[in-house]
Amino acid sequence: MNTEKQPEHIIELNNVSVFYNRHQALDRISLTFRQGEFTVILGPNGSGKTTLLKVICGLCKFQSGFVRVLGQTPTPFNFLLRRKIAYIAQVESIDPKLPITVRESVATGRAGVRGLGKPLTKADWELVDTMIEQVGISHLSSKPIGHLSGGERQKTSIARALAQQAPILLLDEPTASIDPNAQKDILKLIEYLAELNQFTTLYVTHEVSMIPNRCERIIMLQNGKVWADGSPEELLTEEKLKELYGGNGFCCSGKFAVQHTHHQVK
Amino acid sequence: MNEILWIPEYLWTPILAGLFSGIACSIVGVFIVTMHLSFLGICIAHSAFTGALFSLWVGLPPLFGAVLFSLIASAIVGPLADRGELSPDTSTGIVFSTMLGLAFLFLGLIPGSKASALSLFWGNILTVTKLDIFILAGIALFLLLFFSIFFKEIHAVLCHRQIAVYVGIPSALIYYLLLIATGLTISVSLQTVGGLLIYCLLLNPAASAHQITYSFKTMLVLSVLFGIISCWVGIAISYKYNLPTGATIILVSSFIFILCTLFSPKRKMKGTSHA
Repeated sequence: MNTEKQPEHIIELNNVSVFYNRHQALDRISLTFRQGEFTVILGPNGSGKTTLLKVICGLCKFQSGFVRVLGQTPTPFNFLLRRKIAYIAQVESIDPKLPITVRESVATGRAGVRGLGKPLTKADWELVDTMIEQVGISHLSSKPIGHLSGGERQKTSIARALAQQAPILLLDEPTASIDPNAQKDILKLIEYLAELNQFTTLYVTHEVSMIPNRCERIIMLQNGKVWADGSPEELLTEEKLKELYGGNGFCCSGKFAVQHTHHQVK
Repeated sequence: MNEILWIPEYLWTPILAGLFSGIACSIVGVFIVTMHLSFLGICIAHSAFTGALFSLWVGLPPLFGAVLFSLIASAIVGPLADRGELSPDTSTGIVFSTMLGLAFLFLGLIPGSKASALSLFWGNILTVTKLDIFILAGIALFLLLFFSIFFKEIHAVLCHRQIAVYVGIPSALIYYLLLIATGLTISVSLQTVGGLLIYCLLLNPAASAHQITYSFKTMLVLSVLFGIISCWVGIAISYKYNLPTGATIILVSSFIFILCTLFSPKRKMKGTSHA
C-alpha cells in the first residue's frame, strides 16, 4: 500500500520501561518488528499488551529506553507519525443519537492524513467509498454509526484504518465484545486485508482462539516482560500456554480456547 | 420615531445583539450537546457570572472579569477531567461550587447598590451598547470561521475523541480551543440574556437540532437558525407585551425544543441500538 522505502526494522523498542504511578506496566522490553510481519501479542489481562501498542503509537510515555517507529520517536505530539499508524481498538458502546454516519466515520481516517484545516478532496471521498466497499458495508454507508451492531461498527473501524493508508496496523483485541459469528467475520477480514496490503501488523489478544491463521510470530507477555518470542509452532503448546496463563487458571478458561484455535496446539 | 425597514431605530441594537448571541451560543451549544457537557456549560456560565461580579467589586468592566473567570474555569476543568484523576462530573462540580461560593462572596463585597450586579442574573438586551455589538459580532465571526476551517477535525473530536487521537488529529488542542470558545461566548453574551439564562440559550437550540438530524452539518445550521429565531421572536414578544427579554428568549427556545422533540425521527429509534 505504501510505496515509500522503509527500514527493515520498521518498529524498534530498546529496554523500554513504563510505570503507572508505582505499577510497572512494561519492564525493559526490547523488540523489533520487520516490515510486513504479522505478530500476535499474547498474554493474560494486565500483562502490558495494550501499553506496548500505546508506546508504539506515542500515546503512552515511557520512563526508560528508546523507541523508533519508521525512523522517528513516537510522542503524544508526533501527529505526523501517528497518521502512519492505524489503530483499531475494542468496539465501544456509543450514543445512538450521535450525528455521524458510517461514511463520515470512515472519513475520519483521512482527516488526519489530509492535515489540519485542509478539507477532504474528491479523491479522499472516493478512497473512503472504496474502503467501505472493501470491508463489505456499502449498504450501511449512510447509516448513523450508533445504529450499527458491534461487528458492523468494528468493520467501520477497519475501513477507517484502511482509509489512513498507513504501513503499520495495530489491533487491540478487535474481536472483544462482539458476538461469536461476527468475531469470525472480523478475523477473516483482518487476515485478508493484512495479506492484501502487506501491513506490519501487531495484533493484541488474550484469547488463544482469536489468533489469526496469518500469524507468523507470537510474543507472549507476562507481568510487563517478554516471556516468550517465537513462531506459533514453537509457542502454541498446551504446556507453554498453561504456564503463561497460570496453571489451573488456564485449564479452566484456556483449554476451550486451545481446542478452538486455528493453529495446531501440541 | 426613526424607523429602518419598519423597525424602530432603537430596536436595531437588541436585534443585532440577538443575531450574534444566537449564532455564537448555538454554535458552542453543538459542542456542549454532542459531547454531553451540559454541566460544564452551567459551570462556565456561572464562572463568567462570578467574574463579572468580581469586576464590579474592583471597579472594572464586567466583561473583563467574565472572560478571565470563564477561561480559568475552562482551563481547570478540561485538563483535570483529562488526567483521569477525577471524573469529569466531579471536577466540574468542584469548580462550579467554588465559583458559586465566590459569586456570593463578591456580591456581598460590592459596595452600595447591588442593582448592576443583580442585572447580570437576567441581563438586559435593550441596554446593549454598540461596543458590545462589535464584541458579539467578533466572537460570532470567530466561531463561524473556526468551525468552517476546522470542520473535519471538530466533527472527529466531537463524535470520536479517542479515534481522533489515533488518526493523528491534535484532539486535545481542538477540545481546549472549543472550551475557550465556550468561555468567551458565555462571557460576551452575559449582558444579553444574563448569567442564569444563558445556559438555556447554549443548550436549547443545539439540543433541538440534535433531535431532528443525524447530519452534523445540518445540526450546526439548524442550531444557529433556532438560536436566531429564539432571540428575535423573544425580543418581539418582549417588546409587544412588555415582558423581560431574557425570559421570553429562553421560553421561545424551550418551545422550539418541545416541537423538535415531538416531531423527532429519533424517537422511533429509541432502544434500537445494538450498542
